[in-house]
Amino acid sequence: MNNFQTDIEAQLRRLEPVPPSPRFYQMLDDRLNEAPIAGNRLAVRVAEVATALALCMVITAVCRVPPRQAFAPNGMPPSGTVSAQQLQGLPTDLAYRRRAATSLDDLNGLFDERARVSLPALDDVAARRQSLFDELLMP
Amino acid sequence: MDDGTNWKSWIESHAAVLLLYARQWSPLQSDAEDVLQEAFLRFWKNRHDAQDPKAYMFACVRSAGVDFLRARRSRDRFEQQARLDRSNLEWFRLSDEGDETRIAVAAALRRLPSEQQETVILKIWGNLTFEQIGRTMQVSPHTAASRYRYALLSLKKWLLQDQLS
Repeated sequence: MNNFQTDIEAQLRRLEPVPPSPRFYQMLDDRLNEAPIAGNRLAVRVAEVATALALCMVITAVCRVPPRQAFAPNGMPPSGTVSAQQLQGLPTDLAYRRRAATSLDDLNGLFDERARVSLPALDDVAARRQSLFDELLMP
Repeated sequence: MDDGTNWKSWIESHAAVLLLYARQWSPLQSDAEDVLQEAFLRFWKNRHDAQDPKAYMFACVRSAGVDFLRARRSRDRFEQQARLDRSNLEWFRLSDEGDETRIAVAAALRRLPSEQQETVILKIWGNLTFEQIGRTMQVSPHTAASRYRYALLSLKKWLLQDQLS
């Protein structure tokens, strides 16, 4: 280190910074004594947030819509589930192509045939629905 | 320092230099005391997490000082400047004997760019290492050392000019 540096440093060190006033210590004392209150405030805030969170969870649980059950006529698996046995009973792709090559009416005929086999008669479904309505409307 | 009741002895041993450091952002003593108060409350709350409590305390002063300056800048910049001129030499205790040299040194210190002024205060009165100064000011120790060197060069030049005139 150069001499001039130590010389300047020595001159600077001779300067004595002004200390804080008694007011500073008094105010700091007051504020540090307030600190537990601030801590309590924080605890209250945390409790408020926790309560709000719990309330949100309860509301969510109450208002949650149950998953919709697949409607399926009696005796039929719910839509979207097809058994291997049913698959085996279905006409092949080739059968549909052949009917389509013959005529459009033939193809429609095949569709109708399949519908009759795989779904219950429309009359049965309509009758069951009507009886359900009747039961509900009866006092 | 771990005991929550002995904060007073801790702050008393560092208060003067911390106040001097706080005056980089709030030159008036009353404002600087407010900054120091905020800084100390921050420091005291988190002191157990600080690896280097002394450097951390200075960093708290710096942060509180910047916050103070930001809040004040928009409000009363002109008034602040006017008050700054009146409180020019109140940073240091000045006795009657040898005051001229001290006043000249104090005035030269005030002429330094703020980052050099900070470095000198942290080094001379804070007794921090360049590594600690770097952590406080968020610069490398090398940068802190360079600023210190430049500051001393400027002080030397100004004091020589002062003597010649």
